[in-house]
Amino acid sequence: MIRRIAQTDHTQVWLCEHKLLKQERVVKIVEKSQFGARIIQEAHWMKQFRHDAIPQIYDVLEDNNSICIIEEYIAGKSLSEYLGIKQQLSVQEVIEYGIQLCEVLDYLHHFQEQGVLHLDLKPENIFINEKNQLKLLDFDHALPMGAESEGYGSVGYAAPEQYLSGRVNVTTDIYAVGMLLLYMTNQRCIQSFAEGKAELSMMQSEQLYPIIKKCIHHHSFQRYSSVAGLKQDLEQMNMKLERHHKNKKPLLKTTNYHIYVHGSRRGVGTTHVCLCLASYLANCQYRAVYVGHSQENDLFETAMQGVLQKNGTYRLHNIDILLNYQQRINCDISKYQFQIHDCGVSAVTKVQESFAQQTKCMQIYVTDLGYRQQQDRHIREQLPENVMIAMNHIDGIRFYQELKQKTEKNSWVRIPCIYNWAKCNEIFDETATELLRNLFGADFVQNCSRHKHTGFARIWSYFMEDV
Amino acid sequence: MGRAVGTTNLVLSVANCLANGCGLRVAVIEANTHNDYLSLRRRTEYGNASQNSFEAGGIYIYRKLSSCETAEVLAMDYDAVILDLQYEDADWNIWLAQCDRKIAIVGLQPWNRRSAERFLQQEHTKLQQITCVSLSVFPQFQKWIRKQYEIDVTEIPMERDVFCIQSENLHWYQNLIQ
Repeated sequence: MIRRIAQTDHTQVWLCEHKLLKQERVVKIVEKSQFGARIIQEAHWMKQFRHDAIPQIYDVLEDNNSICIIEEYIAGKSLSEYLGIKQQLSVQEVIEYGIQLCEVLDYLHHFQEQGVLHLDLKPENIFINEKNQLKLLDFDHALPMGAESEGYGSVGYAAPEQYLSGRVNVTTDIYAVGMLLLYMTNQRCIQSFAEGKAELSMMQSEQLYPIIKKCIHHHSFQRYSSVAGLKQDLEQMNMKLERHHKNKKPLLKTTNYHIYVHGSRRGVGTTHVCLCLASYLANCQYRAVYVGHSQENDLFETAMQGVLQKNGTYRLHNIDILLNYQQRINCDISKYQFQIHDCGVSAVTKVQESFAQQTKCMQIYVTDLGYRQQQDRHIREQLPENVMIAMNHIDGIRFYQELKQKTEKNSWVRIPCIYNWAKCNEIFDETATELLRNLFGADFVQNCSRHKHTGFARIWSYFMEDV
Repeated sequence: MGRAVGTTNLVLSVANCLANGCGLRVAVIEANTHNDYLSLRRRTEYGNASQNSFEAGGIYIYRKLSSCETAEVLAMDYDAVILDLQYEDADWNIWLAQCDRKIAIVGLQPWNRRSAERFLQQEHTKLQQITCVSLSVFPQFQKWIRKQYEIDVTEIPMERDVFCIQSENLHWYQNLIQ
């Protein structure tokens, strides 16, 4: 026995040295009466785990009064101590630790066939060793996948469903990962955030804003569905940052991005959604154009109230509108970074075709929950998975009710009520940001929050670096 | 005024602008004896069985109509009807008087000058109601017309394909027909 590391009412943790091997070990001695069964369960699991980030259990001893667990000694500091010393981590360091955390959680979530949920991720349960490697400790409250939550969690890191003793799943751990990323980025914010006094936008690192936001969504089905997805976004972010640091020369990207918007029926709001998106992008200082493909001439009268420009588009309020000239008027819109195509009422086959034509595009299918719900559901199920479904004319409560029952794999987003597409609306801005991120990935939207302009997120630097 | 001054070219360009650029239902009536639209009918993909009425590029084209038939077309629910008239052809004056917008294509090239001068002289009382345009503007002749008749002759933008006009010319066509 070298020294006592920690002590509580019922637990003692000692640092010891193996006499023969001369290696340090941690010996945890727990009183049996209080947490005997749980400790044995924890030890049972940890003994089976084989991962660099999980301390190895060497032996479990038991007598009448206590249980003794001998495990690997981690020389280092807990995350809270580490941050207390370092004060501030760089974005890349946060991403690096986030990726390590995702790797170990991915292992746990796929452990044997069932998977294991940690359910108590917090800075005190994460260690950083001398080699800057992350170690995950304390499996006291871990549960197999599919089990009911015991209603246990750490304030500020526990997901909402843990407070309600509801069913927990991988998204519960993902919530905690999001809070840990937030903590690593701005530890002062975490307590205020937990108490509801601060907003996510107050955090210092804007690059991680969309990733964290997706992790800590109130509804579990709106979060990342697996740690693999979260890890992928973090890795992409890391690569982007590395590229940014290496390449200081301005790099103008001339790629056109196409957004195809299809509607389930006339009057569902396809044109309205297109105009709102164009207005949002224009407010973000992007060159965006609305391109009409619909056979209906609804927009002619409105557009012609604007100013006709040399390239054949009408400038109305803050957006450029290219009407459906039936290819009879030669217009050059290649200089627009975003082209929002109003495809009108579209069959599923047309949605698939338009997606196949472009490499940098996204598809949005606008629908509502009107009278032809069954027919519409059948159509939605046939849509390619990467088509985003935008629900219009629906309130938030009903939207979330329907979201839980959706059968298709496509992501859903609700279009908030906007009467005038030309006027700034922060609620729609958030929706548009979420839309673009879901369709173009976190790499796209990570620049979204770098520049803020009257409440809107800018994604300029995704296209032009070092401007 | 005369042949090969660009009348049919301008008519179709304007019709295209109105039909596809403004989303209107547009009809063109060949109210002259040139038979230019017959050649068009043969070349388009959209012609129907009738040689005297067909659609091309979203424009409804009528040719070889009698006065009664012309009046019938004018009474149809087209947003715009363009009459391709030839100066001094039969009834051209009557049709011109009925039009809301009068456009005269004046050939300012040296080989068209005589017919242009005759038109300007004979119709000088109506020139304030007529917009004069020309395919190519010879500056000296243009200045003379401005001095003599106090009107401006503007140049028609060149279009390679009247069924696919350039977007930068859209504004010019819209100004012409307003």
